[in-house]
Amino acid sequence: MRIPRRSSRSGFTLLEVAIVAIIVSVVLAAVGLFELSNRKTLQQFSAVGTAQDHAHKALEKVLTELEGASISTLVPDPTGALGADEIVYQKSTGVNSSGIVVWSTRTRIAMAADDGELLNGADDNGNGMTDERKLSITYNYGTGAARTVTIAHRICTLFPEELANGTDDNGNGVIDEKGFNVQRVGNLLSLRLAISALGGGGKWVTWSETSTLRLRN
Amino acid sequence: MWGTVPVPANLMNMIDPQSSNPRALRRRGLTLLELMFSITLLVIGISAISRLTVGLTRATSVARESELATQAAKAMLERIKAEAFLQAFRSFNSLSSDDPSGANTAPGANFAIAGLRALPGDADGLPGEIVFPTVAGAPGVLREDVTDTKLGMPHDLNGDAATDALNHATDYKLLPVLVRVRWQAADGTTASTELKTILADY
Amino acid sequence: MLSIVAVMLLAMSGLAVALLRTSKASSSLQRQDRENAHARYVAQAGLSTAMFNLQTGHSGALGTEQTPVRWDRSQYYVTQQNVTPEVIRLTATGLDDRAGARQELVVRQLPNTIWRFGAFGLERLHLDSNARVDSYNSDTGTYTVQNVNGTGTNKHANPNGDVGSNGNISLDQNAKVWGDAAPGPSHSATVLGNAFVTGSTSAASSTMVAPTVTVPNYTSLGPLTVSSTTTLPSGNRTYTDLVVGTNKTLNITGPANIVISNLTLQSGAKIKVDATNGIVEFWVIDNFILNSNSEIAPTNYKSKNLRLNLLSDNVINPEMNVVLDTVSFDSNSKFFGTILAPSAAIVVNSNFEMFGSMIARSVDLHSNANFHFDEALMNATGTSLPTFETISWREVPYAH
Repeated sequence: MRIPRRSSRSGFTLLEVAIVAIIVSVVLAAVGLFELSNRKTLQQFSAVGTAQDHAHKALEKVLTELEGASISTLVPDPTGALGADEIVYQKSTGVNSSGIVVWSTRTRIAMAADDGELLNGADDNGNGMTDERKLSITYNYGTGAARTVTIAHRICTLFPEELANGTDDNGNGVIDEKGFNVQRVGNLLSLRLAISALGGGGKWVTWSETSTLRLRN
Repeated sequence: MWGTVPVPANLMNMIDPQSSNPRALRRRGLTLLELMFSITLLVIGISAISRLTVGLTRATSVARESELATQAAKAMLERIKAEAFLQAFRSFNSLSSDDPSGANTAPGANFAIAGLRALPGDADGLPGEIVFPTVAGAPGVLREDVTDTKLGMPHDLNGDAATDALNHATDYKLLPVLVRVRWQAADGTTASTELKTILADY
Repeated sequence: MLSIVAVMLLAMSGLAVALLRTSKASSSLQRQDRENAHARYVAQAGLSTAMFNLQTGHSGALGTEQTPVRWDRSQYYVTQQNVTPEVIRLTATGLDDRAGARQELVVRQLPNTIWRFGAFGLERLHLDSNARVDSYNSDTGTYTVQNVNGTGTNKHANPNGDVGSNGNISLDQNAKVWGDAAPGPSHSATVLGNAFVTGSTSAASSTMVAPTVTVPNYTSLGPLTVSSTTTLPSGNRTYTDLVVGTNKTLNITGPANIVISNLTLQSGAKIKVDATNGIVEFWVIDNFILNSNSEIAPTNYKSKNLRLNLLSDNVINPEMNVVLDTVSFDSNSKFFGTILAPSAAIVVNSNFEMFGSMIARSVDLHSNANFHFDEALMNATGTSLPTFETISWREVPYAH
């Protein structure tokens, strides 16, 4: 039997392999755990970020739509503590050659049951939210050329911290406001929107935004 | 290192057909150096990426705060626009004795924003501030001769074609206004955002 | 071994890249939004500065697309277009970094006085049988000096004798208007027979809001009958019945405010107002009667120095018990001044001659009634700065 000469290049001892395996598995476990926790926080953050982005985009759209609206054309006129959860309005499209304002056709911003959802107290579309709404803008409302565009989904039934009890629970100046609310005080219009998004670990996060604009017509 | 296990030559050949071939030995397995190298690479990579992740989450919260600040500044500007034009200056300057409906009845120049913390050294403890063309120490005096490029000053404000040092708090026809939000961000740094416009009576 | 490490590094960097992309996307979206908001506020700054210029009597145009106005680190330019002589369209474009916004504001210049018409009937206005309306300028000279245009029955001074109403206007027979006949919005002016209107008959774009007559409260001095030349000093006084006897003259020194329950000028009577130190303003609560050849005028015959407010309501309301007040302008009487009678229906059935301006609930001018609008009233308020009302504001789509 020939005892092979010990060579530093030809492989490792079992002990070496075992120790390296332990080190590597420890490192991998640490990395894995770190990654996992990060991912959950990240998902949470990105869920809030997603909800924030959606709410922001939708509200910006509503703002630019309503900025040229004429107070006298608002139906319903959302004064009062309840505001309104829908609004029909007309904007100026300029003046004619005699200096008279030409008003646009009516436009309506309102909520409806979200896709696949019925307003029946159950989660019909199985996404974890009950009776959530979507926000749509209908151009040429009331005419044959009506066209509806949805600008946001997963709108909450009621504003965060608000209960349907006749009082202003969240202290923001509106009573029992739904996920979308419009309120007019003088020529200042306040818009409120609350959107939910699915975060890490199946938890829902809600992002609410309020915008105000001064009506000009 | 700790001694090899004696293995008969023919077994050795069966287990490791290349062990007797010294040239092939170099290709097989990893040297400790290579292992250390790859682990170091791994560690560097992980730390870099985790630092990136942490930095990005921090940046996201700073971005969200900045979004809040811009929204709040916009809302405040709209509110100033909604005020009766000639009352806007006295309602939103930092002097409470000149408020149009009586002392201390107007919102004033500083305002809070939900979700943002004021800077530690802020005099009034509120992150939002409304700025008009005034001179430090005289917040009730609306002056045309202030030098402030952000507000477009100096500029005639009451239509008499002159830029003087008189108080135009009640006879202005043009009102530059700047809304500034300064807050302490989630990462401890100072952040600020500004929105400005000029108002007239229409 | 190395391959496993490489695979893991690849996976993690893939995650990092995804993160970077989403955060970069949302931060660039935020930046875009912020720049758009900035641009809108810059456009608004341009509009405000343009309005400021208009309100101080200058043009609203500012800068051009090639040479915009600088405002801190942004720029704007505003163009002006006159849609009609009184309606102005301002279009402001704001530029901030890469973003741009455009807004359009349409304003109407408001007249700064209600005295713009020879006669204005709030509810309606009617002229027939040789009633005439023209204009002159009391600051330039007397009416006689300016009455040099046309010949014969068509002789007139200036063609700015407008008539107006918030309702309908009708002209018949030989009524003549040297000026515009402007009915109210959605109403019309009918010109029949040989009547004519030299100016436009199109409807006004807004209604006239007549101020309400508020009678001041002074101590009553009871009745006054003027049976010989009397001079009242300046000051404020109330009379119950003031009668100026036949061919007698009552001089009043201004400034004075005189409240009268019933004012009667007998034939040939005169009230002369000396307005050197201030104007004289009358309030008549009930009856106002000018008999033939009577005259009410300032000594300098400038209508801006004499104001007559009639509270008199002579329109019968079936539910109310109203005493029928008499507002009567009789033949060859002359009045120099402004008459504000928002509750009175004024019927002129004679050669009554009016120099100045009249606003009444309704106006009927018959048989040779002669109204001369005084153009000097247009600047009577003293201020020459224009005022505007906003008609429309809108955001106009703008592509850089």
